[in-house]
Amino acid sequence: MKRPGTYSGILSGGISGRTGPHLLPLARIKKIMKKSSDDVKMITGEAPIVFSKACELFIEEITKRAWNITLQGKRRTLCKEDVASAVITTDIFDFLVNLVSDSAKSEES
Amino acid sequence: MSEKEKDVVVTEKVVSEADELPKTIVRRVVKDKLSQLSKDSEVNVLRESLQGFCESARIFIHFLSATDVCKESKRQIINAEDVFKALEEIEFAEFVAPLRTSLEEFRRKNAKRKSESLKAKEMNKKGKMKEPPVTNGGGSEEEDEDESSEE
Repeated sequence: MKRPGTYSGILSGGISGRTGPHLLPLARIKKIMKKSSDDVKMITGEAPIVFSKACELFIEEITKRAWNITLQGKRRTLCKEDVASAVITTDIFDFLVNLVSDSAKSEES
Repeated sequence: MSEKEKDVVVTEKVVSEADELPKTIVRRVVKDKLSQLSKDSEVNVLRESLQGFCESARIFIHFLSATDVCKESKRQIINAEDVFKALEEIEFAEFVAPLRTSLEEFRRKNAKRKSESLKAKEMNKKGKMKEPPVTNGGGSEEEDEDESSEE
């Protein structure tokens, strides 16, 4: 019987099925990393795991900030504009400003 | 007008689903965090806003990968320490401590799993060694028959 590999628990399990400290599929992360730059050639076993957890923390950070904006608007539903406002008002999310302005433009068109 | 057309080209560039992070997992992370932040009541998330989270995370990976940590150390292989250094460079230093803790936990679990699998392999080997070797044609049976015929 083939034993499950180190990373196989990620895709199959839910929260109860988490075998490691990561949720996001490592193969997908490696694919995105390789597309980002031609300089990225090889990635060792642990780097995608750190990336996965970093993404999780990043998503949590945006969620927290977007949620604060939702609360300020006295609403209970988090919408895209809240995410956009969170990005614009946070300095370290400056790299996402283009994404936010592009989606705003596409809405107008 | 040409600039607007260029902008339209950029915004219409569709990222295929295979290149994005899975929406179900991103949704789970967002919902878990929201339930932590708002324990009293249920929070809703619009489907279109999930797209924003997925795209943001994807660009975050690009941004983190593009830092030149490996170039500086003249290596072509990104390792965990490079990722920590890159996080500090892009002003996400607050992530480094929880990530290190997470990585240590993963390493411990991995080491435990490896030692358990090694033990299991050794047990299997021992089990196989104890069994007597099976000869071709059932030689032991023939000997029994001979004995019985002699009697």
